[in-house]
Amino acid sequence: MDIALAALFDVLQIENILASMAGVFFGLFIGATPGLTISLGMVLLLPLTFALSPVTAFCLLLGLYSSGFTGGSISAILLNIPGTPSAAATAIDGHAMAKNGRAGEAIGTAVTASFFGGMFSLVCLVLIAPTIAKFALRFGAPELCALVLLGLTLICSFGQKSIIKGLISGVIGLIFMTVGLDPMVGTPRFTFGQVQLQAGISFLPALIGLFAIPQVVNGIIAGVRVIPTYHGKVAGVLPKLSNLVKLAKSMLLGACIGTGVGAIPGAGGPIAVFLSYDYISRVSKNKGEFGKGTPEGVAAPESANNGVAGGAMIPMLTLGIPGDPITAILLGALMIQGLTPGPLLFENNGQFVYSVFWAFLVANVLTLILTFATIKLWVRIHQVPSRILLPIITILCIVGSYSLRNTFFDTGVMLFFGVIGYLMNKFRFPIVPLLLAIILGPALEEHLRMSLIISQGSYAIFFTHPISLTFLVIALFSFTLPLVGPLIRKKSAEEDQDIIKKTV
Amino acid sequence: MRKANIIISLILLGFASFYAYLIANLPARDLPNTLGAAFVPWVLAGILAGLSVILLIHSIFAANGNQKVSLPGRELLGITFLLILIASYIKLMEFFGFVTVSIVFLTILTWLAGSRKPVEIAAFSVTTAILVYLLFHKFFQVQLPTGIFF
Repeated sequence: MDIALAALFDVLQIENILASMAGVFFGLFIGATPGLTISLGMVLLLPLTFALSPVTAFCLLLGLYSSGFTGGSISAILLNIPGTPSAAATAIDGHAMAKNGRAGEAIGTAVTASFFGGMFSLVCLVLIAPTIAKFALRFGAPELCALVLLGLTLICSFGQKSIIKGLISGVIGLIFMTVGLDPMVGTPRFTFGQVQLQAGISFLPALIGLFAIPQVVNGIIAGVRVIPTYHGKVAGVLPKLSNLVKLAKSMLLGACIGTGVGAIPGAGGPIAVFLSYDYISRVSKNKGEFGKGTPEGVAAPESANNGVAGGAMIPMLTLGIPGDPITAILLGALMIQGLTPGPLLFENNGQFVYSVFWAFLVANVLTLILTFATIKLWVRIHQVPSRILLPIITILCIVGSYSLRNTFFDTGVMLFFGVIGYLMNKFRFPIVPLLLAIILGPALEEHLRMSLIISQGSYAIFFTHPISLTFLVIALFSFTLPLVGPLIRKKSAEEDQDIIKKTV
Repeated sequence: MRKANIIISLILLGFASFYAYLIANLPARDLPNTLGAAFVPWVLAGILAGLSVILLIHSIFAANGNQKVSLPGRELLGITFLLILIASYIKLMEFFGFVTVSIVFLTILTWLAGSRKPVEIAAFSVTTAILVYLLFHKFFQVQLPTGIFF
């Protein structure tokens, strides 16, 4: 209790409130501007956190995380252009409402539902995370190795269009992480005589390159993009209490689905929002209104996408396994601050963990207040031209990667990974598995080799420990089921057809 | 997409072979009862080669879908120019200083991004370069190169 209060006092310091506000404003800008993603915003802010304390850094980043989703719904509603992929489901009914002259009501519903989803997921995070962390304290090297492997296979296979490409992406990330001094005996590996490579590839320039450079290249190659302007009126944004009561069921369903899906590594926001939209459209009394502009069709996905935020932080904080790309970047931010994500974070830095909870609460409240207070600004923000944004993003990427160690070597690394990211996008290889492998790769190798030292070289250690065996079995299922599943379904469908033919 | 996947799987197989060649040449400095520094890389090289073969076989026998991937010459030229521009910016910054080179870099980039108004380009480039310098140098204490100019 004492550390929870101390953490609250820490988060309420003026510099931390200002950092939260800055994060919320930046997040609303990133979210409301089509083409800019929350991951990109996070990557651009990451170099700025070097000079900040861990709590201030997380107030800034969580402000962005919380408000980015909300900002994404504004352009989805007004222009039918989702500011973030997670706002795609909101556009269906939100834009229909805007076309019917109810843009203000749609935005008000989206902002309130986002707040509800965020707060619901925060409550789940506070209730569940400490219990998982306490349980995870029992993990030794074999369990940790199996857990990292499970996280990687889930990200590589779950939600990816091609599992093979997802796995290749993850393995390439792990290969990059073998560059540098070997963690056990200090043998230099693949350094090509470069002193800077002995410390390995820094993940920050790699992150910046993978996320930002493809967007800059695509933006400049594609040329000036003409984004339509919304000319309608945006009035009556503040929602009525009676309307909110009617939407309570949609918001609660969305929040539950969002938090649950968010907690599964690799699932992410877009899956959660479409699941919640689909579910509410089946169970609602107004089924016929969906697609024509019903507030329920806005409330459920919006509540779900902010629910994802708290859900995705559960495995990230407790096990060191991020739930989505944004929490993978947050994991990187923790490591930059010298903190080790996972169960030991709760043991060794309990006050900081509570600060993260409070910072997320403050970010949600500020997002609600600031969005309503400055709504006129966000309605017009999509008009900022790309000819201004792209050069600013480029220069921030370069300076950001340079600022890590004040060396141009890191800017070269950023450029190298920028090319890789561009090619991967072009040839439809998912970037997230590579990113996660870069972050988790060193831990995987260290735990694997440590386990084998303990067992004196026997691989049985992974199968005789029940927890590690469970993780390995789930990992095996996570990438074999999506491969075998369609074959089984096809076969059973054929059998059904045969039975029907015989019966007829 | 099918043709592109076949080419990519062959490139990945080549990369796995090159990686294996590098692993074979790693210095031996292993302690007793520990796995060597080459152990994990060998496992990864094997998995990458295996996955590349699966992708190759899958692509050969897969139907040619509607998704098409191409890298037209104009686009390739644009990307190469952009990458050379960024690389030159990084290299020249060391000698001429952050602000000076950034103004030139931002001018070119803003023009490439579609702006055709000289006054707008000049005002934007100068202001952004100075603001980024002040933000990182003064506020975040990052020592940006000053070079022979500034």
